[in-house]
Amino acid sequence: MRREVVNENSWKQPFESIYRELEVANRKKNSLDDLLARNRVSKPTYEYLSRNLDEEISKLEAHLKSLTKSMSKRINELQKQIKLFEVFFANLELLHIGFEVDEETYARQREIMIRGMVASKKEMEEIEDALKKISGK
Amino acid sequence: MPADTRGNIILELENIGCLRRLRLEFKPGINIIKAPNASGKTTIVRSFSSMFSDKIPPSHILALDELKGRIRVYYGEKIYEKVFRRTPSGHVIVQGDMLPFADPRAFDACVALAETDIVHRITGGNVIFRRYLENLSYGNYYSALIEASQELVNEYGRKLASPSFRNFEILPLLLTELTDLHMRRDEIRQKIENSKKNQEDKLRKIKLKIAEKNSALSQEKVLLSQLYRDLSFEKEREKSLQELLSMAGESSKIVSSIKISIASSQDRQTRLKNEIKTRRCLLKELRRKVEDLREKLRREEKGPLEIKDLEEKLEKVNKMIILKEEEIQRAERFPSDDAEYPGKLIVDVRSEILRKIEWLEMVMGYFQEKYMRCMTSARRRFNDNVTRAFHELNLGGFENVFLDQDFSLQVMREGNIRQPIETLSASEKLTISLLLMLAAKETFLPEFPLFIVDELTLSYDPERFWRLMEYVKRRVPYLIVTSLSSSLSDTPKVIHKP
Repeated sequence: MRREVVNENSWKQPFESIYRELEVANRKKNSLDDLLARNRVSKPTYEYLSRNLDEEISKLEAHLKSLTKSMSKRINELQKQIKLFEVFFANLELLHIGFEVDEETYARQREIMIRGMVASKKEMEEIEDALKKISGK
Repeated sequence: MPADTRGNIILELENIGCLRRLRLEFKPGINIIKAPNASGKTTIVRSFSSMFSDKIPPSHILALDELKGRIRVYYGEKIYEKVFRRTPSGHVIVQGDMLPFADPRAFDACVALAETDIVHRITGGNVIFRRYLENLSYGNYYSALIEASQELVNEYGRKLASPSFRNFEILPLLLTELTDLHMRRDEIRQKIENSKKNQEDKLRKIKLKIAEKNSALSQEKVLLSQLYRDLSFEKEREKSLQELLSMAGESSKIVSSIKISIASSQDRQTRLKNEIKTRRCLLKELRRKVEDLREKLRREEKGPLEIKDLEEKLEKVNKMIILKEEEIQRAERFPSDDAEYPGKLIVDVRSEILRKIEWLEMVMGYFQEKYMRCMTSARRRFNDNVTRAFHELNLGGFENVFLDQDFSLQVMREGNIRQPIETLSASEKLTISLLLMLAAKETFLPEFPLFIVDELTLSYDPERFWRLMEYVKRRVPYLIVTSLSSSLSDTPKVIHKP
């Protein structure tokens, strides 16, 4: 349980925060474009505000890009982790069939592995969903 | 110093200070002007100084009760003359020539009067010599440029702090607020759309239910009319059977059979009646439900309250958006009644001001560096000359005198003990003043031919004073010293010591 919290903190919170900031910055740019299109703001003022916004957007995009890289890396780690769980799980089943492990130990280890596998898959899905959100933009 | 080949300098004064008419001749070497108190020694120094420096105001030179005065100097086979005139308003104006070696810095470096800057500073215990060296090394031009640039930067800074510029600075914030309003507007629109879609779904469902109930109602009606028909048929049948029974004879077999049929018909009628009763109740229930659904449909068709609330909110947000856009429009321009930039775009004026500030900061940086170099070099050369003078004069009691990095005068006693200026004796202050002036002259005015010392010897050790004067004489062609004397006549006289 503790591990899950740590993992979430490592990418989820910054990702959501940057994604939200980027969304707001893009909305601001749209609002500014709209003001210019309706002659509600002059071209020089537009350019001044737009320059600052573009800088902000570029910074956020760069930050998001580096975060995306680390998220992709995390997906690879999780895939390896899941494979490892699967190998351990198969091994446990074999031990159980061959009566090399008692029922209580089998049940406890099986429960732990299932929980770990579910948590890893859940985190992987969350990262994939987050990445889809960016690529969909 | 090589033998001086210069000629004599003749000074003629007419209506200057307390002197009506005076002629003095100075020769290369030491010239001692001897005269009793209040006989015009300082007047001579001031008037002569006014021929090479403009530090003495003309009103301090012309005799108070005269309208016109004159200073004439014969130097190098030429005559240099200045005429002083008092205007009807009481001002004194001056016309004429300056000596060829005139220099505005000479008064501070070569004339030791009680009012001379360096003497005044040291006797007053002031130890900061930055301004003094600035003036002598022309560092003051750099500092004046730096100060002027800084003043302009400050002025532009004050401009940028004015309300119009402050409003412009909050434009990004206004844009953020406008974006928030856009987001709120979109959110409300989405809610309205969803709400309308939900309502349409609801209406379609109710209509569907009404149609279903109506269909069930029609079926029930058909069924009920069939039941009535069946009941009527059974009643007819029973009636026919009753008539048949009355016509039947004694044959018990036939009677019994008819009676059974009658009982069966009655039984069927009872069942039909019950069925009709049940169906009528059902029909009534269906009608009520249809009515309820129609009522619900009527209510729903009026539209839910939620949409009305949302539409009101949307209207409010749209108004706020218009106001915010107007605020943005106002923030980007100066008001039309602005005194300096009426109706101009603030962004243009602002970028122009920022460009100027940037340029001024570059200028300041450039001159700051020049100033630092100039002042560092001036301080170093000045200190070298002070040190040399101290060593050559071998004045007992002092290790060294110098200006530190903050241009503060440091007097080191033997044993490298620092002594505060204000604790020095009057004669020590005077010695240091004269040495600093001589160092300043050698550093910044090496070619200037004069060094004048006015009656600073009252509280001075005569032996040390003349040792000092001998030292000065070796470095300056004309040394002029005033000295108090009660034995001579009232007219100042020059005694020459080659």
